This record gives sequence, C-alpha cells and structure tokens, in this order.
Amino acid sequence: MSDLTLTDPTMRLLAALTDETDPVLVQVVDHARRGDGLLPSRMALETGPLSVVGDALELFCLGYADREDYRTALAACQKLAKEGTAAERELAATSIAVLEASSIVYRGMYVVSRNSREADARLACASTALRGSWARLVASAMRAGNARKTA
Amino acid sequence: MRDETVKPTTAQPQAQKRDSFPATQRGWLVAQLAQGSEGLARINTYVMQTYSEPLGNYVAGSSFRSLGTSKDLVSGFFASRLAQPAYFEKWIDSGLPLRRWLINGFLFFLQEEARRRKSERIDTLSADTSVEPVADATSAVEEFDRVWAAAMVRSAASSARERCVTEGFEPHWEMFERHFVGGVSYADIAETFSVSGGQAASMVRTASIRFRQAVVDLLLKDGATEDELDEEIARLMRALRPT
Repeated sequence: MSDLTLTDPTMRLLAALTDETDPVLVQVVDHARRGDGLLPSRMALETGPLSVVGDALELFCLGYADREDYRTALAACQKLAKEGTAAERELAATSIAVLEASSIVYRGMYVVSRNSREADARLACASTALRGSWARLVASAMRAGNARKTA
Repeated sequence: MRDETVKPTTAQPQAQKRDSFPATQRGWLVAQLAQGSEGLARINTYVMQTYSEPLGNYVAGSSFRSLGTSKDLVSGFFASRLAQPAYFEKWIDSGLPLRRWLINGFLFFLQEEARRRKSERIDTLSADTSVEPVADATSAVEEFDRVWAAAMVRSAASSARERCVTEGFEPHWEMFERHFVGGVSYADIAETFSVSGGQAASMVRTASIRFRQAVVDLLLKDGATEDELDEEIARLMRALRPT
C-alpha cells in the first residue's frame, strides 16, 4: 500500500515542522518578521565576538582575515552561544552566519555548515537581521553558493 | 458494540515499540462533546471529512477490499458507529487517540462484514467455519497510522495554503512549497521572486508557521494535548518514514 508519490512530498512537508537551521536563527527571523526591534544591531555585531581578533568589518566583511582569525572568532561566537543571554545567543548565531558568509566568499569553504542546503538556510535566516555591508556580504555568499551549485 | 475487544491494539507493551501515537483523551472533540447534539454533529462532520480518506486508503490496500468499494465500506462503518449516541463517550473512556479508536472500530466492522457475508453464502449448519481473523490488527494499526499521517499532513497543507491565500500570502506559500517540497534554495527563490535572501527566508517562515499551526490544530482534534505536540510530530515523521 506504499504510495511513494504521496509520501515523499509529505515527508518533505513534515520537514518544514522542524528547524532547518540553528533554532536561534529562527528566532532572529521571527524578530525580523515582527519588527519588534530585538534584532542584533550592527554595532553589536561589530563589537561582539567577531571583534575578538580585531576590526570585524575589515577582517570579515572586507576579507582580510586569515585562517586563525576565523578559528578564534568562531570559538568566541560558540562560547557566547553557549553561555550568553537569549539576546547574546542570537548575536552569536548571527555572527556565526556572518563568519560562514565571509568564509564562503573569501575562502570558498564552510565554517560550520555541513552542506549547501544548511548554509543556504543559515545565511538566508541571518540576513533578515542584517543591513548594509553585512547584508551584502551574506547576499554575495548566497549567490556564490548558488553559482557553485549550478556550475 | 464490541469494538474495544480488538486486543492487539489496546496498549500492549509489545505493540508500543512501534505504537505510533500515545493514548490521550482531551482536545477539541472533548470540548465539542460537552456541547450536546450540536457539538456531536460537528464531530461527526469532522470525523467523516478527516478520516474517510485514510480509512478508505487503508481498506483499499488490505485483504478486506474484496468486501466492497472502500467508499461503501467506510460509509457503512460511519453509518453504523456514528449513529450510536455514546460512541464518542466510549472513545473518551478508552483513552485512545481518536484515529486508533476509529481503526479499531473499523477493523471490527470489517470483520463483522466478512462474517456476515460468509454466513449469507454458506449453509448455517457449517457456521463453525465462518469466523476467522482476516487481518493482523497490530500491522493494520501501523498501516493506518501511516495513511492517516499522510492524509493529515496533506489536509494541514491544504488548509495552510487556503489561509495564506486568504491573508494575501499566496507568494509566501508558493515559496514555502518550492523550498520544502521542491528543494529549491533560498538563493534561487530570492532570484525568482526578486526579493532578498532574508526576505525569502522571512516569507517562507510566514507560511511554515501557518502550516505548523494547521498540523497542531489537527493533532489537537485527534486528542493530543499541547504537551505532547512535539512528540506527536516526531511520531508522525516516524510513521511516514519509508520502511
């Protein structure tokens, strides 16, 4: 009685019931949807865990970071994600997504995502919180991921 | 009414390894029952709309299909059970999810039908050969859980889609379907719909929240409680996982 033509899309629909990316990032999306002003600010992003290795904008947005910078910044983000308040965890999750975007654009590799689908969801969700140059960085990473996939 | 005597489906420890849904007895239907005949009429309508397809799919794929068309068998079952004034009170007393209660009753009804038809065909003097189990109840329940879950998810998707359309979120639903059913990336969706990646994620989220709510509504109506919803959703996924 198996009906795979029905079951497969049904299973895919069910997947929509679970978080396809970091559940904290899903909260960020919901803040953006509600417009409740609780999104991580640009200043928080640039002075948060990404800044432990120096000027976050210069290093990760403009691409001057080296391998060690990514590693150290990621460790700082993960520490904040583990020990921070709810708002700090959202900042950490957004910062990790920014690191991911930077790494895709400037190094052609993922920092935390296991595959392109996960990276795509992480970047798209994080970008709901971003404006200006950070948003452009994430958009570039999404386009780069797309270009790699279709190449 | 002896529906409760279908033994393998009544919380046997053996069966609970793959027992797809927990026993609960609260939810929307209970509230409707408290409202008397109007509530009962709403329940009957809801039950027929919601469970006809999975019951019909179940019987169509079972050894009972020789008894008649799935539509006739399901209609006969509803006619015989829903007319009983205490049918749903008995469901509450059973502590079973509604779908489990219905499939138990449906199996019993089918067995009654099989016996009745057999006895019509053969000489009553040889009636001792006319009663035999025609289905393994445990596997029948598992199979029914699967078809029920699939029908429920489709029904939830349909009502979520309608809600999105009503609320002016038709593109959101289309994005949602492309992403989750079609496997299209947010990057591609953003390009197709001329929005940013963040807007795509946000719009898909708008639709996915409505879909989740539709699933939750149906699970609550089936007798789950708020506390059980996450586990119920996990059970749905297990029930639908290809074996």
